[in-house]
Amino acid sequence: MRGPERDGPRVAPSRPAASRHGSVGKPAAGATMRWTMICQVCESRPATIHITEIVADQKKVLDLCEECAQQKGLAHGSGAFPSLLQSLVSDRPPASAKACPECGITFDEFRAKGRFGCPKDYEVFADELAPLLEKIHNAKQHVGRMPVGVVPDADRDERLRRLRRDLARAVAEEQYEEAARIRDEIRQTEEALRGAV
Amino acid sequence: MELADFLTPGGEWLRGEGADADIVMSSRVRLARNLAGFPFATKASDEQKAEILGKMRTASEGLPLGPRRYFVDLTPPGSRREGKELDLDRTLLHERHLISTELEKGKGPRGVVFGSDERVSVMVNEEDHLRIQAIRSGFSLDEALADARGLDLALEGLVPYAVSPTYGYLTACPTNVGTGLRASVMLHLPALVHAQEMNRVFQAASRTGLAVRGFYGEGTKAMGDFYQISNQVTLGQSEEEILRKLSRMLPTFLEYERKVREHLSATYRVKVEDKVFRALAVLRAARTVTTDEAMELLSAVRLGVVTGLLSGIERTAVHELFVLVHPAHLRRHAGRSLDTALERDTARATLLRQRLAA
Repeated sequence: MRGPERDGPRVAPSRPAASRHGSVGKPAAGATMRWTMICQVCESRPATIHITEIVADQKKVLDLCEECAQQKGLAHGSGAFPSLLQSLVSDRPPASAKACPECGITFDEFRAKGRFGCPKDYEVFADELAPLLEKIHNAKQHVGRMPVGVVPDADRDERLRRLRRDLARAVAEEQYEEAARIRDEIRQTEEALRGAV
Repeated sequence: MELADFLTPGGEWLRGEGADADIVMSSRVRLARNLAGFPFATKASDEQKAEILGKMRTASEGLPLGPRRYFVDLTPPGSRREGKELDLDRTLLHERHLISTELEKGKGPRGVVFGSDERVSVMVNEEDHLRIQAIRSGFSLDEALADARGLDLALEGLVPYAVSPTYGYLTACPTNVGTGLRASVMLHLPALVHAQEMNRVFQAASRTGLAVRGFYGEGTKAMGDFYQISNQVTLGQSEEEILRKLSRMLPTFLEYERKVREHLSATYRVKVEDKVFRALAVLRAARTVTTDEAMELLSAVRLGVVTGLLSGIERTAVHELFVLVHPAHLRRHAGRSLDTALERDTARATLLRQRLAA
């Protein structure tokens, strides 16, 4: 089921020479050869964002200026659009206050940013993630290639991040012998993760 | 690294060779990878990012990048170089499609490694720790994947990746998890744009799970009638499967563009010729040209070249101009800062007149 992609708002990249898209227009200042489309909402600024929404096979085209698009929550900053991911997660009910013990991220924070904080989040938020992966990829299991000769080892990965935190602390506290020992351990763990030992 | 070498775009992808090169400008494959034992870039401290960058600086020695390699540290100024010089470098690399907008505008320690033919590069500390990228001219996704994989294999022997048996390569954003593979083809679709048929392309793409993006990738506008079509699904399909699906869909778009080109030249031959020859005439005579206008006129000229309407103009020369007309390259070329829009538009017009002289 790839519903959200089919039914959700589709965003068409804007073109400077917008006359080819439609009929509304007047010459843009300083560009005699080009015509500019006018925003359908404010009817004054030039439309730079063109959105085609398809709901139940009915096509609806919206031509908006940056400002009006932003007010409608259709644009962020300078012409960037909420990602597919954000449009998928934004209408979901709030998650619990569960936070990743490693990076401290909550699922709400992930939703807002669209990015995880560390590899462990895939484990911590596995339940919340499952329906999302189903929507995005229509799958839950990787089938492509993996690093040669490497057995994925979440424990070592986690241990490595812990060692790096310990190292930063040891350096901050000027415990240099301890720091040297941790560095050795980091190196050994990295080699183990690469399948070198 | 000597940025003076970067006056001319040397990218192999601009050659205009390969299958279906009349429409397919280039094929690109990128692999998102993260290092085990570090938080993702969003939560990594500047010290950790610097450590990753340092690891990649060392690792770059062992990568198959061709005879010459470049490691560019894009970390904000204060350490190595003057701010202004560095900004220019970033924009220059972005204009050449060597780094993304995110890496160009980002914060904290970051950089890029690439070979002299600019066919492969590795961005460091973008959304993911590593973004391996390979670009080829024409429709050559398999070759691009082979290039990217060569780098990937070399890297996985040098640094441990964050992987999971369930999710494959772990990425900061779950839209990339699994293979971490984004395959895309850059298509030149002047006829479809002119005939106002692009909405159908967007619909066809979205129905089949493909994304359409602009000339400079995610979140950028279409310029010069160039559109990038890429896969969205990265989990649950093998790398080969993902490429196969995209390749299977591609002929639909190519045939559609060719059909409309034929229709336009059969029905409105004079109009098409007028557009092409007028575009060339303006580029050969104008005294000021904006970036958007240059991209639009060059698109018409490219159409003329690939359809045989125009002779005596090299495809590569036109392709290079799609990169050279952007501000950082113009500044390099002129050797001046070109602070005002008028200065840039004038320098752009001069460059276009020189390069396209009869």
